[in-house]
Amino acid sequence: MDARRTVEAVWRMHSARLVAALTRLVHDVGLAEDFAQDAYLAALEQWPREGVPDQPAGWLLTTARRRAIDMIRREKLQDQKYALLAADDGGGTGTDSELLSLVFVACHPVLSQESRAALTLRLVGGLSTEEIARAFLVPPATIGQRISRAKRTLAEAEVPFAVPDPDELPARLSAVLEVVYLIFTEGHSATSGDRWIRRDLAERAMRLGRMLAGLMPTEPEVYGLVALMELQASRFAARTGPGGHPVLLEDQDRGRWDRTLIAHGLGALSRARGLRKPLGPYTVQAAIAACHARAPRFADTDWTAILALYDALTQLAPSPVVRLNRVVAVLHVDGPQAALDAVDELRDDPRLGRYHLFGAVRGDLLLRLGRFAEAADELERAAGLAPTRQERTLLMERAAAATR
Amino acid sequence: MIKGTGADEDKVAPTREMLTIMGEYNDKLIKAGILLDAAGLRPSSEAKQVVLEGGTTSVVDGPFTESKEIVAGYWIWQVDSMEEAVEWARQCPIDPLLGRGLLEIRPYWDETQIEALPA
Repeated sequence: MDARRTVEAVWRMHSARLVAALTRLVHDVGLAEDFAQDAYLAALEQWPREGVPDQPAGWLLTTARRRAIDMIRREKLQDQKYALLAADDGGGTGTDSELLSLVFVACHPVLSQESRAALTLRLVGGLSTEEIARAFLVPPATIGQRISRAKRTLAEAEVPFAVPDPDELPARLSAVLEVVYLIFTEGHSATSGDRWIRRDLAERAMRLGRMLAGLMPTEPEVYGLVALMELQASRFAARTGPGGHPVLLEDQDRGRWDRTLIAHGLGALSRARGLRKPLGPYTVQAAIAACHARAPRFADTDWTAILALYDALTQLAPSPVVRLNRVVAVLHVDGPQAALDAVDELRDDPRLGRYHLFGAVRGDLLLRLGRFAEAADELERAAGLAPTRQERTLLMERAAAATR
Repeated sequence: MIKGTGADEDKVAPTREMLTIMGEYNDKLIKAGILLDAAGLRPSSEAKQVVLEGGTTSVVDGPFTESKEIVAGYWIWQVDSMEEAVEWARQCPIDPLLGRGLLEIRPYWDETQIEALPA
């Protein structure tokens, strides 16, 4: 076994708490990360020669602290706070509270959504610039700049290294969960290019979600998000056919669904509900995913329950996408005409104008009602808007089949 | 999976203290976001073995005192690499009465490996 891969594994395991502990000491997240990186490079150089230390996390922290102390001495900083650094016996790597603070800082509202995602993957996920760049399909230089700018913004805004106050917490937590889900959906279905699923990124997001759930066990939406991600991820293997084309839910081989992920996801959903607090949108979406997970075959799906959940979701998070997904539930409960009426209510929403699934759903409904020519038109238009080659092909095939 | 030998099984019956220590370890795994499942298994005195051989089956009742390895529990982890799994395993607490611990790490088959199997 390769020492380099061990260094990377140890880094991946401990970097977040390492950066968190260093931030407590040097009061600057950017600096903390630099020192942590120094320690990582030192490990890469020394461990292959000297063997992996018994306490790898402690070694990294001690090394990083030494660099930090050197810098403080060099810059002759007189601040009382920094004098404490020399007295600190190092302790362990970051506490739960420090790790949480790091997460909240990385997802601070002063940063753009993409900066939050990049910074979270870097500071909390321990990913390198190259890895993050590959994840978001942009050049490494772009990510490098994004991260540097984000660190500067945080320093200039003097963002405190702390868990938000209870009155701010709901909004701040919401921002964190959004970032995690954004990372998941990047991995769950590519928004551009030909690749439909990027597993590693989705797994990274699930890991972040579970970590958050462990740190905030009284927040139902965190468990809700974990449940949602795991239930969606459980279907990865079944979602693509041999040619790489997408397989719809109704056609998926449920034997290929990952039962361990389903079990864990259903467990997380249970915990969310068991907290007896008002349910949030992620939890409700997870409950919908759970209805699918529990159905042995598509025909066994409890659409009435799903429709009720969509009604609840429409109250909590009334986006046109949610209302469109609700239409599919209406189809299965009340039939295609009722569903067509429901989808036509959405026609004027400009946000759906460029959304390919709107046309896909409407086209499908028209097919079921025997209005084949209109269906073909709708499906062709949707194909033109599809973001991936595979989805485009699928929609064009269905359009062609409509008029055969 | 943790293993002790069949002969040692009486010695390593879990104590409250050991359960607490193991609970702290599991807590670390949970907070790292890698734990998907975990369970302790009851002693082999409550177990049975089913042996399939030469077209027949037979059932053997525990305890399995002759056994070199008794599986005492298991975890299911989601980690990035075998190296990472090893590092987490290295942190597992051991029972002081036994003085040693053994974890065997087994990766799952993935889709591409299954597809690559000869017919």
